[in-house]
Amino acid sequence: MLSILGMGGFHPRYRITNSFIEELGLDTSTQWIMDKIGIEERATTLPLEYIRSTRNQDIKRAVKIASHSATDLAVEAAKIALDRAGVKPNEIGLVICNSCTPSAMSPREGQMIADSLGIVAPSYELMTACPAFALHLDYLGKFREETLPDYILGICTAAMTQRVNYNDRTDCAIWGDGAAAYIISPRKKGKLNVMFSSFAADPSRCDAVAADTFGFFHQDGRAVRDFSVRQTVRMLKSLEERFELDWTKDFFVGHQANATMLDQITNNRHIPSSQHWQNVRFLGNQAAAGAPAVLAEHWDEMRKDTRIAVAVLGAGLSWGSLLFQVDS
Amino acid sequence: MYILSAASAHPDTLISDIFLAELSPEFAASSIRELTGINSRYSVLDPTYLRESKNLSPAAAIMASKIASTELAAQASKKALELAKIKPEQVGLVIGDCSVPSQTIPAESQRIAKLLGVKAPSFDIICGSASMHVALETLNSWKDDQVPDYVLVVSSNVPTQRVNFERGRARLWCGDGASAIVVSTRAKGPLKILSSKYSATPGMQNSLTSVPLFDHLEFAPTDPEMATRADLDTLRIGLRSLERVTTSLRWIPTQIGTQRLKSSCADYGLFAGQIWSVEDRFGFMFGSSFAACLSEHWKSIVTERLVILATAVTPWGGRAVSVLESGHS
Repeated sequence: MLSILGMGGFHPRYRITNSFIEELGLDTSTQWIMDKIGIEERATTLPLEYIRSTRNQDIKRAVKIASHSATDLAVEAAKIALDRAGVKPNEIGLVICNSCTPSAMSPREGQMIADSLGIVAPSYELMTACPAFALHLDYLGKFREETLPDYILGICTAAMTQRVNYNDRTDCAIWGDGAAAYIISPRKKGKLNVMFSSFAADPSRCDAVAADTFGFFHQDGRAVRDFSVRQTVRMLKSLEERFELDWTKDFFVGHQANATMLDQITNNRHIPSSQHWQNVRFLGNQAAAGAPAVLAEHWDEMRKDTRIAVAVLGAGLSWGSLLFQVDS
Repeated sequence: MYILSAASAHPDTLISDIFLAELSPEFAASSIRELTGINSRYSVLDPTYLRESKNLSPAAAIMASKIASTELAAQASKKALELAKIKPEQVGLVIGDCSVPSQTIPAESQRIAKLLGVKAPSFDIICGSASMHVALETLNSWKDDQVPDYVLVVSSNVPTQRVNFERGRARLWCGDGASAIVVSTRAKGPLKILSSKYSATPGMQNSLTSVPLFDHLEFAPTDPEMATRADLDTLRIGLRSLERVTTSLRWIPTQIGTQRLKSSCADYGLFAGQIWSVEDRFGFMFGSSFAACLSEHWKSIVTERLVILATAVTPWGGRAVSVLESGHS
């Protein structure tokens, strides 16, 4: 059984508030943003004055001026995860990474992160955009135990605000930047035991969410939102039935895309707010990093025998679910 | 586990050594041949576009391309599926690779699956020239009941979109192409996968070849030489896993600098004819090269009992070794 021994999350220090977005003069308001997506602030690697003066029309410049690259964010998250796991970089036997905003085409993020940390181990991108946390664990869970190394570093990182057009009101209120890292072992005991994992995709709708290499992110917001709510509810129902989840004791972490959407989901499944962990309200949609960053944030307060259900989805269209049991 | 089929697809524009010499006086056609051992490569870019622009803008190259990497991948995949006699709806998993995608979201495998009408889990494994080897190692390491009946593994690379055709060396080596294989644990095919292993050595400091996020591919003059040395080193590792080296052994190296290997392989008990390469015709295609080579030699794979040692090296110190056995029809 896979176990997560340590997790880390890292976000840049700049914050895009709703009043900042209003000041940009786009046809939107705090009221509308709170009604539709429920996000109050977003973490960004871009200096606010840069966004204000340029609206980020030149993504090449955005990458140069950003406080952190996707690699930088990931390295910081990985350091926290390694420290929590009590694992040294030279003990890592494999690095798998998902970067929605790669820092280069080659080498890719996994290789650059490994190099920054002094890790000499196979590293490659294992990529599906937003549901990557579920993909990574589902992928590793299929291996025969003896073929995996003792410690694996998994990373999700994204500097999405570097790909946002701040002249377009539809996306500017959604995205945030961040990274999450997790140390996984097939045989060493850790805090989070992976009781269940799943990953699936419906590529027929893969055009709904896209980011051009030389351009901005774009999505069919309504179609993606409807899919997100329906699919998350489906995944939760399936977990509830199979594992007899009890929302008075168990916890839920959803895809950190939209707080209003998460409220719809938790209302549908009668999950009280005390059992719902989220960070999208104050960090924005950090793509694949969102959900694992939530777990990293709550790492120290997880109590033994608690179960945590995670449901994530996004580009591809792809989706995945996880169930963890907290060990000591 | 067996590879049931292999196929490749290439764009229409042939870039000969003469054409390269016409674009820029930096190298004469004869020098290019001597330096690289390559006669031709293919590009998604039109010859007129290359003459007029020298591809100085990688961003413009995407719009100017006659065919996208995803479409090339779909062509190769269709051929592979037909050869394996598998319908798209039978595919249970698609693993993709694209080192130079036109979109960073969604995954290339998901775009390919859409074009093929495949409704199955799909994700990318991206690891440069070693991508397909990592995919094979993955499938070979999964529990038997976790591997779908048929898996499509496809790599599509269009590095000429990132090549400066006015100066530099990348234009001498790089070519565009896609390749695909159909893998199965249930059905038997001509090519049995005996082992596949990807490992790492400290190597970032040697990483000279790079593809920046927005700019041209960087290719230092010593890169092919370093790749050759790494390939020979990896060959030595691979040979250790075999009982003996015989005339029925074939070697598929990384497909960059292959002509240098032909003069060095005797030190390892091989003769030049035992090296399988498509580099002279298609150039260096990153992760697409391995299966393109299998496709090129498929007739031999079906009819002859051979041991195929495939190696791939990456600029960041990655080393892949796959051992395959043919003639298992």
